[in-house]
Amino acid sequence: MRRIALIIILALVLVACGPKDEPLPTVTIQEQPTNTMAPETIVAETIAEEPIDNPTPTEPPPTFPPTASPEASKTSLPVITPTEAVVTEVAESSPSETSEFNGQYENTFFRGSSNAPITLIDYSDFL
Amino acid sequence: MLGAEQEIVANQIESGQVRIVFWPMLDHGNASLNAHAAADCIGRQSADAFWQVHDHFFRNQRDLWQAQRDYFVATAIDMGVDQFEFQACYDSGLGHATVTELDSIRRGLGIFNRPSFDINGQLLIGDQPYDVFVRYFEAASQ
Repeated sequence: MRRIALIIILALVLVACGPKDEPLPTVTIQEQPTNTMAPETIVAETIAEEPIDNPTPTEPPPTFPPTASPEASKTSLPVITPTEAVVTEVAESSPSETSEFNGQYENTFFRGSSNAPITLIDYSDFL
Repeated sequence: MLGAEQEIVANQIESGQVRIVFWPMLDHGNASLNAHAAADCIGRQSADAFWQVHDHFFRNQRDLWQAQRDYFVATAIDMGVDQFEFQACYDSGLGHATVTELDSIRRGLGIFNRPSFDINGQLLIGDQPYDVFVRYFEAASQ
């Protein structure tokens, strides 16, 4: 009976020692998660960069106000008038030609004489 | 502008002192775009017809909100221009492109208030009575 008991104890000891060798494979399993985490962090970095690029397309609107100053319009508009004045002078030099009344100038329409000294530009919407 | 315009036409335009240049503002989407394009296509045939339709559209602003191609064709006929020439212009998008470009230039100049007026380089904003225009004309002629 003692021999049988010893054999059983030895068998139990062997069984108990057996699982102690298994942790080695579990170590390799634990390494795998660390490898898969690395790409995730890379993706996260690239996603984080995108919001930095997004603000630039929305930047143009803020650049409008400086160019939209009334002074800019005042300085730009007279540029149209001198060119018209040159055309008028040429027309006056030829006695056969008379001033045009109601006409078209550079895709706009004017009402009155092309020789009129005062130009009123009317910025309006029909609606 | 229509309020003071008739007085300006009677007193300053007819005398040759002032000329009015109309510059479209497309502030109401396709309704504005189509109406101004139609006026442009009519004006290409006759500047006099342009000013007729200009006055007509201002007097019938409510019609323009729902106006479609047929309305503009009928208007072109009423203004005495050639129907088929008008249709060719309107359908080709020539008028639309022209007024869109003018509107873009206007925005680039920083003019956003409607209406706005430029009198020999002096900017005047908002609807104004005839007397105000006269003062600006007098200042411009000095």
